[in-house]
Order: sequence, then C-alpha cells, then structure tokens
Amino acid sequence: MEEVNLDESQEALGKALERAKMGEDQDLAGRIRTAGERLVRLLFGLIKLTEIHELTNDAFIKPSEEFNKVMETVYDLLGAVHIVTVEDQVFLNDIRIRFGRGDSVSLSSALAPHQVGGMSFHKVPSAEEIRKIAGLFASDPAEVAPRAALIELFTENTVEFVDLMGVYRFRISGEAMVVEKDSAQVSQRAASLVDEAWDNLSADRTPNPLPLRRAVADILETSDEADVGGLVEDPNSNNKYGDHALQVTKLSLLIAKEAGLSEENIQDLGVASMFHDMGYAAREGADPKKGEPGFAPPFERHCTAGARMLLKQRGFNQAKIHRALTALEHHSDYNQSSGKPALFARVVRIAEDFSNMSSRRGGGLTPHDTLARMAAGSGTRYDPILMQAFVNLMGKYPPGTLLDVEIPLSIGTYTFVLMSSSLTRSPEAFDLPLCRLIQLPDGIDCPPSYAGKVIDLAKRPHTILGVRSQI
Amino acid sequence: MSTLEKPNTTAEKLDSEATSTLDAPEESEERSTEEPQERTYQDEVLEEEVALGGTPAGKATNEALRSIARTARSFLIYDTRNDAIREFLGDMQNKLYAALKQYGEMSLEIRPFEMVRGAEVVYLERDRDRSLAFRLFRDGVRRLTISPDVAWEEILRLLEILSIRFTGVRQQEDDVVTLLLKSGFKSIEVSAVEGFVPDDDEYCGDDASAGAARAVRKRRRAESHIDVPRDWDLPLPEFLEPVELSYQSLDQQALDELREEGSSKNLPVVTVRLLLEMLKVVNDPTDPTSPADIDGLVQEVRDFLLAESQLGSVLNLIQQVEEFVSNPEQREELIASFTSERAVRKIISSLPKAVTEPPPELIKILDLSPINHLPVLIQILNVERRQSSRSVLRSLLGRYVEDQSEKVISSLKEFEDSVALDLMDALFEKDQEFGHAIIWDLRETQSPAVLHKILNMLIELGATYKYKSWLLDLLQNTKVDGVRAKVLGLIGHLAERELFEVLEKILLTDWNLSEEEATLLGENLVKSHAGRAKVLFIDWTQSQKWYSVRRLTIRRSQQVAAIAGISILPGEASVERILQVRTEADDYLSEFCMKRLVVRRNLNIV
Repeated sequence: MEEVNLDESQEALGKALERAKMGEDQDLAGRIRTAGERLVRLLFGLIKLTEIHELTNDAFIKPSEEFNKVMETVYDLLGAVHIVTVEDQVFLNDIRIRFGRGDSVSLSSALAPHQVGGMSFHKVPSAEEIRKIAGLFASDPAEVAPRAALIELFTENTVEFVDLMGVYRFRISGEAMVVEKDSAQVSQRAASLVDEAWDNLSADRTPNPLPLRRAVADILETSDEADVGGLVEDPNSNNKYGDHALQVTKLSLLIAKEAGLSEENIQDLGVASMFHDMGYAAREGADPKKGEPGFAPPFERHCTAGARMLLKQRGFNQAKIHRALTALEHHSDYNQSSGKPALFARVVRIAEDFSNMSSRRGGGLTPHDTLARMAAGSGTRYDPILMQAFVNLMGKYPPGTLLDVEIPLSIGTYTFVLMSSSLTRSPEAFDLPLCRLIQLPDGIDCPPSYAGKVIDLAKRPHTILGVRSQI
Repeated sequence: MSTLEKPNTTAEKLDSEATSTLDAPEESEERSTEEPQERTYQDEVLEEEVALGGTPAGKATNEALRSIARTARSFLIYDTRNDAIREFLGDMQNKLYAALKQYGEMSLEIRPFEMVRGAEVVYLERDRDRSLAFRLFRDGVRRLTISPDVAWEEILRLLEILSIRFTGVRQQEDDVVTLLLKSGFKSIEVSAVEGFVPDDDEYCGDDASAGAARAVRKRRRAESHIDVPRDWDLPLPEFLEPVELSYQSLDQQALDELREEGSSKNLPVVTVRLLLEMLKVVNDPTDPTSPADIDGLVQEVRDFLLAESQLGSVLNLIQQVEEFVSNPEQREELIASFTSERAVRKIISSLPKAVTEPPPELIKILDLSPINHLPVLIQILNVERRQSSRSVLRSLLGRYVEDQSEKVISSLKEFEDSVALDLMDALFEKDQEFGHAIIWDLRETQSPAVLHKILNMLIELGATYKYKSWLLDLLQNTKVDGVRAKVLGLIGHLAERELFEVLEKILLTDWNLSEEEATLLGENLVKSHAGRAKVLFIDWTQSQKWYSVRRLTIRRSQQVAAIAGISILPGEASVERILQVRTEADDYLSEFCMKRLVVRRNLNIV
C-alpha cells in the first residue's frame, strides 16, 4: 500500500467537494423536487380520476388548475419539462422525484397501457388542456402501435405540444453491457440535440449541457481513425448549422486527442464546441411583452452573446467557465494584444475556421487549400502547437480533398479522381491517405459497384497531379 | 371499471382515494410529523449496510465497500475538515487495499441494490437514499473494476464522485457516468449504459411510434423555430497565402504546457480571465450585456477564489478592475464584495491548518478595499473556532485595531470571552501601552478567563500603586482559582504594613488555600513586616513537644506559610527552625521544608 498523507487527502477531497457544491444550484434542485413531486402526483391523480368521473365533472377543476400553476413554476425554471418513468422511479429532467415509502403513486402503471414511459411538455398546458391529456391517457389503448395511436389522438385534440416517449427500463446484467452505437446514429442524435439546445436558448431558457455531454461521450466512444463521417461537408444536408456544430465538435475533439489533453478536458471541450456559435440564438432588442422578437446579433457580437447566454446557468463549474470563454474567444487571434485566448477557444478557432473556409457557404476552398492557408497563420492567428497537431492529424490531403491521381495499371497509366477519406495514419503516410474512387478517366463517374472502393495510396504506386476544387 | 355491489360506495371510495392522492403531500407531511423519531439523522447516515460475504474474499470486499459507502455518506453530516472524515478515510484505505492485495482485482457487477463479485453478493442496501449500488445503477453504471495496483489518487477521485452524488445533484452538468468518464482512470474501469435520454429509436428507428413522434416534433419545431441567420460566422478572416504542409513532431514541453493550461490547477487564472473579459464587455457601450447579466458570475468567481484561498488571483483581479471597470461606484462595489464579512470569512476558513499568519496577498487585498475591516474581523472572530484561523485573525486585528483602539477597548466588555481575549491579545501585541487601559476598563469583570488575562498583562507590565485597592480587594474577596496567587505575586513589591493584617486574616480564615497561595502569603507577610511575621511564624511552627490546644488549631496552610516565610528570613536561626520542624513533620511537610531550603539557597539568603 503506497504511503499516503491522509491529512492532505482530506484537504484535497474537501476542496473538491466544496468546488462541486459551488456547481450546485441547490436552491433550484430543491424547488424542482418539491414542484416535481406535486406535478407527478397531480398528473397521476387526474388520470385516476377519469376512472370515476366524466371529464366535464367539476372534480377536475381544482387539480387541473393546480397542475397548470405548478407546471408554470417548473417551466419557468427549466424550460421543456421531461417526465420519465423507469420501473417504479420517476424523474423530472433527470432529477429523481422522491416519494415516501408506501406511496401509491405509480405513474408508470398509468402510462404503460399505451406503451408510454415518458413525456415532454413543450409548453404549459392550460387547465382545459391538462384535463384533455388526462382523459387521453385514460382512454383504451389501441391494439396495434398504441403509442403512435395516442400521438395521433394528441394531435387531433390539439395537445401535440406533449411528446410521448417509449417505455424505459434499467438494463440489467446479462444484456449487452454497452449499447451498440452506430456512428451515423450518434451523429444524427447529436445534431438533434444541438437543434434542441438552439431552440431552448433562443427561447431564453437556461442552457442544459447534460444531454450534449452524453452525446459527446457517444461521439468519443464510436469514433475511430477510419471514421471521417462528419468531417466532410454533406452538400445535400438541410441542416447546415447542425452539421457545422458537429463538424467543429469532432474536429476539436480530434485536435484535443492529438495534443494529449486530459479526458476531462476532451469531454468539456466537446460540449463547449457544440455551444460555440449559439450566441446567434440571442435576440437583441427583443420585448416579449410587446411581441417584438428582436434580431440575431451581428458577427462581432455573437461571441459575447454566446457567453452571456451560457452564464445564465447557475453554479460554479470548471466546464461552464471553459464553455463561456470558448464562446467569447473562439474568433480571437492567438497573438492578440490582450494575451492569447483560452485553450479551448484556440482549439475551436482552428476547427471553426477549417469548417467555414472549406464549406460552400463560406470560403468554398478545398480542404487541402484550407489547411495550407491556415498553416500560414500558425503563431499569429492560431496556436502553433495546436495548428501543427491539426496538420499532423489531417494530413496533407485532408478528408474530402479531391485529387487527380495518375495510377499505373497493367493496361496503361490513367488519371483518376479520388477523394481523400482518411486522417493521417502514420507520419510516413502523411501525404498518402486512403481514398475513394470518385471518377474514372475521361470524366466518367465512378460506377456504383466501385463507389465504396478504397484505394490505399500508401500501398499503390501513383502520382498526385493536383488538387481539384470540384468534380 | 368493474361492476361492484355498491357502486356508489365504491365510487365514493375511489373518489376519496383519488382526492387523497391529490392531497397526499399534505397528509404525508402530517403523517411524517406524527411518526416518532427514534434515531437521529446522523445515526441513519452512518449506520452501515448489512455485513455480507460467505467467502473470505466476499467478506473483505463487503467490508471495503461498506467503508467506501460510509465515507461517501459522511459528507452529508460532517464538515469536510472534521477529524471523523479522516478516520473514515483511513479505514477505507486499509480495507480496500487489504481486499485488493489479498484477493486481486475487484470486479463488481452493479445491480439496483446489490453489488456482486463473481457469484457472491458483496454489497446490499435497499434504501435508495443510502445505497451506493443504487446511486451507481441509476446513473447507468453496470460494472466497476478496480485493479490491485490502483493509485490512491484514483481511489480519492472515485470517492469524490460518489460523495458528490450522495450530497447533491448535478442536475444539469454531469452524472456519475460522465464524471467517471472524465476522470480518465487508469486502474478503474467503468462499464455504463445510458441514463435517461430518449432511445436512439426515437431519432433513428423505424418503429411506427417513433416515426409518429418524430413527425410531431418536426411540425412543432417548424412552428416555433428561429432560424440561424444565413450569414453566421461571416465574414471569414482574410485568406493567407498557402504554405507547404508537412508532418512535424510536437514539442513535448509545449504539449506539457498545454496540458498544464487545461488542468484544474489553472482554473483560478482562467476564471479571473473570464470575469475580466466579461467586465470589459459590460463596459462596452455597444454591447447589450448588462451588469445584471454577470452578477451570478461575479458571485461565483468570488466564492470560488475565496474558497480555494486563491488570494493571488483575487489580488490580480482587484488590481485589474480599474482597467476594466470605468464606473468608480461599480469598481468600489466589486472590490468591496471581495472583502465583505462573508468573503473574508471564506478566506480565513479555507486557509490550511498550518497557516497561522495572514498571507501577504490577503493583507494587500484588505488594504486595497475601502471597507472598514475591524468590525468584520471582530464579527468573524465571534464565530470562528479553529485555532489557526483565530491566530490569523488576531494578527489581522493587530493591523487595524490601533486606529480604533479606544473604541475597541471600551467595547471589550460586550464581547464573549473568546473574542474579548483575542482582541486583548491583538491590542497588547500591537502596543503594550494599551494594556493599562484594558486592565483598568475590565477590572470589574466577572469572567474568570478575562480576569486571569488582565492579571497576566499586569504581571508583564508590572503593577503600580494605582492598582493597589483593586488588588487588595481581589486578594480578600476573589473566589476564582489561581487569582489570589497571581495577585500575591503582584503586590509583593507593594509591600506596605497595612497589608500585614489582610494577609494574616486570609491565612487565619480561609480553609481552602493551596500550597502556592500559602507560600506566597508567607513570603508577603515577611515583605510587609518581617518582625511581626517572624513572631507569627514561630507560633505556627511550635514544637510538638509542647502540647497545647493552640497548637492543635494551627492549620497546614499556616504551617506552609510559616515555613515559606521563615525560609526567606536571614540568619542561621531560620534554617535551624526549618530543620527542627522537619524532624517532627509528616512526609508532606518534611518535603516542603527541604524545598524551601533549596529556594533559600538559590536566593542566596544567609
């Protein structure tokens, strides 16, 4: 057993817990628990009440009005309200609602007939609406796809602001210990969460990083060197902003790993990256009372707007500090007179500029050209070590770069159009990426049967004639 | 609803049950207050889980886990610096490492209320609020594996995470899984599943229900969504001329510096940076960010820096505030908030135990602040109990007390003893001249501690005739242990004949004199009037050969006083007298006689 100084251990632990407590908004947690318990009891009670009274009965008046009132309180605090039942547990926005021993509240049993395990309220229901909702839950479930049928009923009854989720349960041992995740699924989900975060911030709500943190954990878990999904612009995507946020996140994570930052930093950086441009969700000059929606901030103020929004989250937390600084400084130059920007901001700056300069809506440069021009700014615009780390991992021909490559075949030497599709695999293969076949000689498009074919330039004699800007 | 015999009754019953459910919280609140509280909260928190384990490995693992759980829960009731925590830590260390050393890698399957090692249940607690297993399980942890070579640092970090979950809810930043993942453990493996997020099927699956849910969400978003502006992130920075790209190894030192920059050790610097930058933004008239927008940040940064004793960072912040905050009122307000009573108390209480003097940065911070610190420091002294902290406070008080000494001295009576004593020390250490004013002001005190303090001060200063009446009064009337001895020590040089009767009376009437008091009385009788004293002493030390009733009334204290007094009278006769008493004395008195003869020799009395 190693020699340890227990006094120092105690001191360090004490400091860590005090720091953690500073990250707690205990007042908020307490209020949410109290209100949450009330809300769940009311909802359960209303559903049970439908068993003995018609919906028009006066017995519904008081509890419905109270539900409306309590929901307003919770909505004010949290924004969208998510109630999740898991076996005999009830959670409100990830906070477990504690019921006393022997309590007969079992919301999950009331929802189970419709195969509903949770619900999200995206606005505060009126007393009338909650009455309707209780009645719908109490209705007979459809034999086939009961939840889908219930969703239809909710829509028909104009209460579609309530999302209905499927049944949850705790995974037990014996099942797959870790959910098998597909990189594309993870990216899709992350993009949805970015959208949701955007909507919440533009509605002036407190930022909630926890779902995004989980998404970052999933991205880290499912990404590998061969996976360049999300690093290359999808020209057919309808969600340019979400794609950009995801691309910046993935690039930032790669830079952080290449630079050997700690696991904690990597996770926090991922979340910071997802939030980095959310300043555009702010509304200058908005006045809800007068119905004036306001305007998005211009470029020069979107950074401060982002920091301002992120600081709405109460509780001191290292991740929050990094996040706010990233939003504030991610367009700042490395050699600015007020001192170099914060570490995360320097990482995101690189990822951000690469994404913007190589996108069609931005600079429209090829990935190779983008990287080469960015490298010229090493030490002035960009942190030189981080920039070199980025160059090292992207390679001379970053993923998405179109190349004219002459390849000798047995029947002659031909020029093909290839697209780089890998990060650097080794220092020796810095300029020898894996490629996908895009076009055959004489401009013939790649046949579908060869569409996924990978050509390893490290293993194939070839001559790169040049970089293409487009096919 | 099923048909029952008496639907009306049943309906009423159902109705009342439904109503009672709706009203349940109030009823359950009433119920809970009626239930008798047999055990304290502390008992509940510290009560250990059931002891388990059939095999030796199982038992050892169970002990280790119970110890971890107990330590994590103990933060619910103890301050983080409490000695009990240290004990729990030591116990946890011993048990965990014993189990690891003897039985190797600890791989635990996490179930809702149990932990299982191999096929053996090694932990069980069904109370959700107490259960370590439940806390882990609920957040998605399904397996925890601890290697035998795990470093103590990692165990502490694991304990920190578990303790955080026991003592609070990080409802919007992290859960156990994300905390565990962020820790980057080398010797602790965690397998986890997701917590409470919508299924992937919701977003990607083909299930009819999932598809319906997505369609509704899409429709709703279309109605309420605010689009990202088309020109986001534009204009781009000017394009530079491209350079040749090549692979270059990264300088290890530079990488180390980056890691250092990202570490939590650098957090104070980063935090100050953020606050200063936001202050700049607030002071920019073109930016809509208002002071109210960063109020929370100011408080949080302040509390963090103070709690971490990051005085250098606080000083840096205060010194730079001038540059970033143009409004003088705002500037003063901000600086004052770093030296409010709450702030200073935080600083003092967060200083390590070993620190007993105020750090130089703290002094500079206080000097920069416009606040009058003296009342603040006095207020903190009222509540702070840690000795090291009180020492720091005393030193600080010494800096500020001089300017307001009169006010402080006149209000000493109003403070509780511990505060008054520290203030007196601070004043006295600053300038001993304050001592006379303090003693004079407090001479009527009823507090034994304060009385002893002012007497000690007087011993250091030296008593003057000014204090004679007071000392005499004390000498005759005090009931406080030890005071008389001090007074006797003080009035020695005030030896005047009028003292003689007073001293004699005490010896004759007080049955509870200590040896020290009797000795001092004897000596002082000699100093007051040697001749009369000698007569008295001879009487009190009569030979036992001479039987008399009077001899029987001489008390031990008189004999002690007499021997003490005789021992400082010059002349061989004194020595002979003492030796004679010794021959007839019991063991106690015999030894006392010898002690006094040694004293006589040391004083060179012949």
